[in-house]
Amino acid sequence: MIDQYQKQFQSFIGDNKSNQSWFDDVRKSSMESFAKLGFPSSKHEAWKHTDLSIFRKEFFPKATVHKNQATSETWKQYLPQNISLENFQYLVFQDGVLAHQHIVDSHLKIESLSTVFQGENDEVASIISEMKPRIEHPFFDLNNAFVTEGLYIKSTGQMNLPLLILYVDSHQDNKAYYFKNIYLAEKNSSLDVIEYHSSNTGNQTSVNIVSQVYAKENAHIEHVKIQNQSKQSFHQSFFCAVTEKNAVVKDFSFTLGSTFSRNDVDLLLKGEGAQGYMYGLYSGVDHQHQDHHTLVDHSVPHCESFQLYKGVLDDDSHAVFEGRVIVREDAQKIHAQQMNRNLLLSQNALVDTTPQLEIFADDVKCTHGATIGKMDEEQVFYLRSRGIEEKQARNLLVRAFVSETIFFFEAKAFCYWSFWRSVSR
Amino acid sequence: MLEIKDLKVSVDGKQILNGINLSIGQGEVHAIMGPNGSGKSTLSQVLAGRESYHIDSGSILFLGKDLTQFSVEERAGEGVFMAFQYPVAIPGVKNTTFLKAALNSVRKYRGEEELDAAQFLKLLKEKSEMLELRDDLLKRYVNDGFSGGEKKRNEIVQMAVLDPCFAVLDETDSGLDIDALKTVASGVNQLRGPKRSMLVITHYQRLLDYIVPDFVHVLAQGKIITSGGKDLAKELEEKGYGWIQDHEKEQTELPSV
Repeated sequence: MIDQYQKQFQSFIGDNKSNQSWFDDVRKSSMESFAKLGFPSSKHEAWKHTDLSIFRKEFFPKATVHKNQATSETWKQYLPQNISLENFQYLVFQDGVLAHQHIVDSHLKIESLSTVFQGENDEVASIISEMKPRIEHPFFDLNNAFVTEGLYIKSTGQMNLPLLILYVDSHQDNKAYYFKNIYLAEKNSSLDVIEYHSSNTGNQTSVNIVSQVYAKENAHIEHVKIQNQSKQSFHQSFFCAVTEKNAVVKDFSFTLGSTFSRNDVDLLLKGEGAQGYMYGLYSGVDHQHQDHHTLVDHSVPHCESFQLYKGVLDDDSHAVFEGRVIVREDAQKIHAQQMNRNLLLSQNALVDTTPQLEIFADDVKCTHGATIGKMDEEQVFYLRSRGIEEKQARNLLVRAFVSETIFFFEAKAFCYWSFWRSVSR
Repeated sequence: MLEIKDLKVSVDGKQILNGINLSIGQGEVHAIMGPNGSGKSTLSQVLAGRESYHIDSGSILFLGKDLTQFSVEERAGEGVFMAFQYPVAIPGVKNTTFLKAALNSVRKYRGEEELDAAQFLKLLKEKSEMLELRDDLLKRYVNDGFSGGEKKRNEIVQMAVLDPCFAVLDETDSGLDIDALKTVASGVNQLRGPKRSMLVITHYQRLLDYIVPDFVHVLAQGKIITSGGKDLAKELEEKGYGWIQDHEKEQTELPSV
């Protein structure tokens, strides 16, 4: 399998010769790293609960994207019905290519990834090369090796409307898409992004996305990713954020689709007074596998971090939550919270949860915990005794369970819609 | 309205009710009193439709229909309401959301048109004002962080909104101080009417000072051992449950002498 990726890499680099870029070195070293690692087995600590056997068996060739695609409006059918585009500015990746855009805020600077690779912006180059996983990560390496599509988005002011980035895919075959987005919020600015990933039923593509987020002093970034791809597809996401002094980053990862999804969220609180909020919600059915691996790194004093990940698991689904909080020696007077809660709706659903704290400072406030439970039948009975049908009663209780994760986000309309479609199947 | 005949019920293979006979007419308020373990709560749970209770024999007719054939939610639609002794808290579900879902479910079951948000809020405002329930309780999650009195008042508000023709009040007085008891009782009294029957289940006579029943029954060892008017409750309070059981013993022993 590794051979096939190497072969693909040789021809990809060969084809790309006319556009030589500083990024080529990153590609080469990432490919080498991948060739050495391959797709790790369960013996590998960071991949212990993540079964990668499908990737060892099956090769996902990089999808060929057609830049001059006809600009059809078919992408709109992937939008949730209750969403009105007037409430957003948006960018649409249709079958892997940026096909439509509608941007309102003039202070948003948006460049394509190929422009970034050709240019000489040292700041962006260092974000791309230095913000990387702290574990061996085959999908991150593959992303570096093959990515051509993506955006560099910089905000220098306050956003009037959230930016919706829609990824839709109409193909059926097992191709791989690679995306890389770099988000930069300048001092005192804000950036609100909602990524929505959707695809046709039966679609088997693999979406590999890397998001690198940098919040400068006093900036405010909110990033929501809603993964609602087909239940046969694959999804790998690496999200990484760095906050300077008094900056705030909020991330919300919502996993509904895909048969396999792996999400890594890595946050470095680098400036004093910075705050990081990480929320996650996953809802598994059938044999879906859904991973969330988080890492919060408190490196300086007076920061706050908050993590809340919740899962609702039905049928034979399997979820993994692995959360690490590191508090460095100098990071006094910080406050870190981490919580993972799971609601199992079936006997066969499975959750592996490992909350971890590594504290090297002595004057800090840290809490963490995990729960796994069934639905409270007393609550079901109470609702039914008031005339509410059993199915509706259970739906209400699931909604009650998840609502505190969604509540804080502007994107909640999106989430509810997707979620209801999923649970009332 | 409600006709219970020779009802025998067991839980986990143990028989708790040993042949209950009870007939409640339209608009009547009946009280069932009894010591701990007499089967009071089993009776209320069976009426509510709790699935873990097994009916060994006997029948429960409600408005001429076999109540036991209805699921829990269908019973609510048919007009049965249960005010719980320990209402469960449901964090994450707002009281108003819950009440609206409940009312519209019941209306749908009865073939009535569902209410929209504005119509519902109007109705709710009316009912909660009548029962002096603070607005903020309606906006909070169902019973979450409610005091004992607030929980019981919330039960009564639900009753007022769902408008049942038969209500079971299961130990509504438990955990209430005298002021809370008076408020709850006044709510219940406002809901009394010629078309609504009630079954008040209680351990203490105290509640019956405020919700005055038409009939009082005494339950012991899974059977109604004596029935009477409202004065029976007073007599019980003075002499204790021992009196009635001894009395019963004498009566049953007499013929064998």
